[in-house]
Order: sequence, then structure tokens, then C-alpha cells
Amino acid sequence: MPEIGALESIGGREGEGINGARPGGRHPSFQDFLWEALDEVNRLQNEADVLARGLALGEVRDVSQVMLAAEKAQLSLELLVQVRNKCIEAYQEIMRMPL
Amino acid sequence: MDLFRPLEASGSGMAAERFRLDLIAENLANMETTRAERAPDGSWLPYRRKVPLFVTRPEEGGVEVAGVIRVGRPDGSDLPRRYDPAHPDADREGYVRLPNVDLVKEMTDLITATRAYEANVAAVNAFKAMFRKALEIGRA
Repeated sequence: MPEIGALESIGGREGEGINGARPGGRHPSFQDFLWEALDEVNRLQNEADVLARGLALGEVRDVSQVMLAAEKAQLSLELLVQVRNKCIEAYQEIMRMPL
Repeated sequence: MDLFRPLEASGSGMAAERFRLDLIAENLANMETTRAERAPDGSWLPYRRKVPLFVTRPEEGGVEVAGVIRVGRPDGSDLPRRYDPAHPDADREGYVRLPNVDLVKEMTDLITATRAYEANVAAVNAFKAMFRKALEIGRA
């Protein structure tokens, strides 16, 4: 149907879908983004953990550095939880759709 | 991570103010020190006041300590003198060169450092509050 093809070209550049995503193409999927974010949050948690341990062992002398790492870890985790909540919400919304 | 750039900047500010506090403590401790370093001729030179030199970090933002400046002439010729002939470091006329550390100046610097540190903490807390507020978007 040429009409639908025309509609699709409004959303994205030529040859792309409405969201600019190519099925099976080289664009990273949402899952990749999520994994990346998870890795980053995990990295920040580990960093805060290492610094807290260093402070306890007397290796780190700057307390502010430890506190900032802990804050970063906490805030990024809160952000992750919010993103997760939104995902679940969207999923449930779709599951409630009467077919 | 770009998300926490303000935190990085505030953290660097806190580290810088802490370093300033280090130097103030050292200045205060050495207020009467007449033997801090050796002159080229082998005689002792009094302690000279240390102040930090801060520069901005162009890439990450924030501040970093570029170095320590020692106030006054390296030969100690502009340091205050006190008449004390009994002092082992007195010159032929009985005068002793003393460090150029001014207690009042150091105390005001100390207050500045403390308040600047607090300001950085306030910025961190403001960032946290904004972040949390943003997460509240869409929460019923």
C-alpha cells in the first residue's frame, strides 16, 4: 500500500521506520540501552563500595569523594528504578488491552 | 558521566577547599618557624606563607589545584624582623627573621574556606533535590 509507505516516511528518514528504528539493523535496541544503563549503575555502585572500603581501611583521605560516589550510586539507582517502573507500567498497559 | 557533571564540579570544589584548609593549617602551625629550608649558602631561612593556586578544569568542569605559591621573596629579605638577640637564628644586630604568617589573615581565609566548602555541599544537595524532583515527573 503506497499510502502507508508515505506515512512511514514522515516519521523517519528514508527507509527507516516511524521511530527511526530499523528492524534487525545496526541501531541499538532498547534492550541494549537498558543493559548499558544497568552496567553503568552497577559500575557506580561498585565504585562507591570500593571507596567506602578504602575509607574504612584508611586509604582514602577525602571523605567528600566517598560521599559523592555514594550519592551518585544512589541517584543512578533511583533513576533506574523509575525507568523500570515505567517499563512495567507500559507492559501492563499493553497487557490490559482488550483484543 | 555527563549526568553527574554538577556533582563532579562540586566535588572538585570541595577537594580544593580542603586543600586550602591543609595549607592554612600548615601556615598556622609554622607561624614561628625560623628554620623551614636551607638557603644556598647553608644558612636557615624562615617559613614563608603558602597559598593555593586554583585553575578551572576545561574538560570535566570544576576546579583543580595548580600548585602552591609561597608568598614573599625566596631569600626571605621581606620577612618581618623581631629584636631577639638570644635567639639562635638572630643576625649580627640581634634581629630574627620571622615567617610572614598573619594570624588574622589566616583566620579569615579559614572562614572563607569553610563557607566555600559549605557552598559546594549546598550545590550538591540542590542537585540531588532537582534530580529527585525530576524523577517525580509522572508519579501520580
